[in-house]
Amino acid sequence: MITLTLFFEILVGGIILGALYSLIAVGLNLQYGVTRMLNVAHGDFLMLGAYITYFSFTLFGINPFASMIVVAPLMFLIALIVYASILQRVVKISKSAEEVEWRSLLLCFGLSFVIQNVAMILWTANYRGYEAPSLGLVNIFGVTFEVNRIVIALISIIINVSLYLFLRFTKLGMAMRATVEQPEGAQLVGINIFMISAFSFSLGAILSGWAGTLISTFTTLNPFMGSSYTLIALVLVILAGIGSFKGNIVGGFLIGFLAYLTMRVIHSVLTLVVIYSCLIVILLVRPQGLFAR
Amino acid sequence: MQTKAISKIWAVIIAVIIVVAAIGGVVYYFSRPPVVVKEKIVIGYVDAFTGIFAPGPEVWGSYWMRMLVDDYNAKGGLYVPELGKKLPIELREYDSKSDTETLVRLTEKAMAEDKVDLMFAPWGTSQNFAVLPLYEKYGYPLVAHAMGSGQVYDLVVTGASKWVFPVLCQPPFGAKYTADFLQWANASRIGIIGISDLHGIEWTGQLKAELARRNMTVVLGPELYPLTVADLSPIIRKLQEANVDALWASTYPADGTLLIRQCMELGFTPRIMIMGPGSQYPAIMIPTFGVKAMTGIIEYHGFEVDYKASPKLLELAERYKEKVGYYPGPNTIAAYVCNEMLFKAVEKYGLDRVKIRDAFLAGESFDTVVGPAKFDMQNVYLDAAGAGYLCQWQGEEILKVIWPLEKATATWIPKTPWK
Amino acid sequence: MKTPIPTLLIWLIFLVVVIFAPFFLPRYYVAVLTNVLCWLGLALCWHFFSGTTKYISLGSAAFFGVGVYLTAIFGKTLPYYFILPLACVINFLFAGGVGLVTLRLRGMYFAIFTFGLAELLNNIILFWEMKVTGTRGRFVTPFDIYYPMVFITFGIILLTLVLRKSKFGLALRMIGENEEAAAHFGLNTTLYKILGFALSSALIGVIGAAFAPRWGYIDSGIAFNPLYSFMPAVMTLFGGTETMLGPVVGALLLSLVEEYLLTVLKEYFMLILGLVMIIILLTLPEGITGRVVKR
Repeated sequence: MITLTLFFEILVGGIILGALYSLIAVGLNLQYGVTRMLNVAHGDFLMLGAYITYFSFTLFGINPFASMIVVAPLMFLIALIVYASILQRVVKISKSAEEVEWRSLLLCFGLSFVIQNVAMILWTANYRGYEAPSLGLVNIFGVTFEVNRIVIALISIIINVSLYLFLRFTKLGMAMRATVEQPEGAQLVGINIFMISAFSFSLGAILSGWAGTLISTFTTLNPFMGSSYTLIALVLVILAGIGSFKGNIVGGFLIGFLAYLTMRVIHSVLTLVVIYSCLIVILLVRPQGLFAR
Repeated sequence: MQTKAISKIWAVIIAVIIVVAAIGGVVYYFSRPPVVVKEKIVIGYVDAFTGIFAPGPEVWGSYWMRMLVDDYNAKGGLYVPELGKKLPIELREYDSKSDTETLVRLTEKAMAEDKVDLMFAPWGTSQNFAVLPLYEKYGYPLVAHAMGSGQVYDLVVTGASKWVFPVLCQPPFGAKYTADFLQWANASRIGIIGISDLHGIEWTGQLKAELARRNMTVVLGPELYPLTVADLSPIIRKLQEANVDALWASTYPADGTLLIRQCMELGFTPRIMIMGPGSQYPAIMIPTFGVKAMTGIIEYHGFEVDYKASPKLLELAERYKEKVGYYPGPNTIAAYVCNEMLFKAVEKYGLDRVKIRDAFLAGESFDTVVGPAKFDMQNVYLDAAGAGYLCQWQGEEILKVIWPLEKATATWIPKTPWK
Repeated sequence: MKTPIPTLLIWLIFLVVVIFAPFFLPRYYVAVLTNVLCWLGLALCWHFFSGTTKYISLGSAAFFGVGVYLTAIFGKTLPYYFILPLACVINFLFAGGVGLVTLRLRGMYFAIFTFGLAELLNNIILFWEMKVTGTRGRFVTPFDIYYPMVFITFGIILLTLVLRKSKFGLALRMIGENEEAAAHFGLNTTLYKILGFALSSALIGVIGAAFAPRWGYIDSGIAFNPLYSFMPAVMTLFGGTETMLGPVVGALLLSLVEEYLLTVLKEYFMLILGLVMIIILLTLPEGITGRVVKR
């Protein structure tokens, strides 16, 4: 029997979980949205962010939330190098947009192996964790929620909204949108496609890294943890509509709500099936995503 | 043009293949090395050193098995009675990349091609099952230190397989001693949750059936969740609503950490808290939660050893700590002990694997670092004097054995408050 | 245009070598060859659809897994040679369904959807096993599948040889080069895509069903192994997508070289594979055979 309190719990719990999913997907959405390259190594960038946070905490005592400041420049640098040295070449050697897509897809696969195995060689396959500080609980309408999770949700919402506004209202943002929508026109007005793409890719990597940072506060790390997150991110990117951050939040909430509902009231083992069914439905009904541009 | 170019390449490729094959075949047949005096013992060890299963051997057995080989080599090697002397041991490791086909192929390579003297078992129930036919075909005892399944229990009990020797406790037996313990501890409202994989499905199923047989109340579960779960709060809330006082959770390190974390946050403190592989590794749990928070958590897989029980054990644990940075999990030493049994059997029977197998089947006892040990082929586990069924965190880095009572090194304590 | 005689002859020689190999090779090498044949078949199947139309399928593991699982379920009740065509039919229908949903759209949706397909099936089957059948993993009587694999792989080779020059094969290639133009020419691109994908996946399923007896024990995690999703793609791209030669060279090279390197490089293998993938994709965009085949 679903009481009002239970419904409220599922609603808010779902939103919190959904915001986490949005955060996991936002970096990939940005990368794919602007560069049209599907970075299947996304989960591994997330893993790197998690490890950077782990070492910041264990070696220097930096609070995980604060370590986002450390993660950002490191992820930006790594991604920039990757993009400039490897991914940009794909654009040069490809004869069409489709070719760029699938070549970069397979390239990112190879990249994924490299990142995972370098991480394994450096840090062993052992699980790692650290004692992340807890921010306690908050009670809303008789239901207790973890403040940590709410903070993560808020961060996610802020990031998504900021990106939306950034793309809409700033010069750089508009240049990024132009790169996607009108590549020739963009070049004509002097927009440097390479710089914009490199920047978007690297910014997306920062966001993925931050997702890893926040995830590391409640679960263990290991070099191969990324792939399951890549899958969720991919599903959400399609659901949301590529390049749409409004869609990212709404789609995230939808999946989060359904996942929470399934675990709370139906049966946890069906969670992934439910998420994937959303994908199937969207592909059948509105393939361009909830909020396609 | 096109066709000619392709045909040319084809011709070249095929010609090369045929020539190489021919030369290879000839060389192979005419240059087989003459029978040499045996200079060393080679042990094959095929496991997932990369890929998704890699954390398994890393956390569980690989350090122990290497330590065992080092220990013997430090004393000159393994004594082989038919040669009347000790031979150094070479541990030959192959990486299966977490791929079953590669595992099967490389295992066959080690057995049929390298003709190794002994094999160390891989990590993972499904992996062990996959190579069992090979172990049977080529006649190597599969001393499985990381295998847990009702199906292997059946294989052994019915005598369908004579070559597999599970070390840890299997679900049918595990369910019995867990139910014994829960009864003794007066568990009244039991909740069962776990990962939706083979391990979780079997353990939760067996436990529920056993509890039903004893008319014990399971108020929630078995509730299984996917490996990739990001939030366990819905389940924890269900547990709180049902007023569960004894939680049994079949978890691995990642979701186990998540469970503990969220139980801490949401303030769920069952009186009895039993968790799965992962919850007993100091290397993971101490940096993440610290000894105080972990106090009271119990682990169920069997072959639990208290490293403070003897100086020898403590010394081994200290050496492990030097390598890894933390004390080993209480049941990871299974990998050391079971293979030590294998070595002791070799010292008595020589490199005759059939004789070794028969000795194990007959339940012959060998002396190990945890005291005399023998394979119990009725309950299907390695019965060692110093190894119990359940262990518990009790305020320090080395866990205590709490069940069965005759082997306990400490009395069970209820779960203390998290903070 | 008929298949040139020299090519057929070369394949025949290859077939003869393969048929007689087990008489001269030790057991382990026969196992290696069995594995090589498996990858050869998978790479050719993958190339047949994804290599030509450029719709990158990352779902090979799903169809392979369905085949494996069918053998696991029916291995003790139905004869082996009945399960193989069953796997073919079931995967054909399954892939057809997937294709209907995703192939009307752009390639990237197809790639993403197939990416998660194996994992989805894994979870569904776990749930099924848990709730409905109450089983956990199944045993399969292991037996030597070398000759069945030879039969299947060479069957696929023959089929590919025939189809690639047929209207079907040419249609797929046209879709890969310029789908819009193909549609303007009146080609029903969606139909050809779905058929091509269904056929390719059906055969992948047959390989899976045939291969299962190598492992003796199947659970859904073993059956739906992501390795079988991206390796056929890697092998084909390695070898080249222009002609059938590409996947053959890619599969042969990668599986044989891997076998040797695995024992030598141990845990560095995956890392080096990733690096090599990147290098090949950047420096030899047409694959190894691409340089030789001029258009």
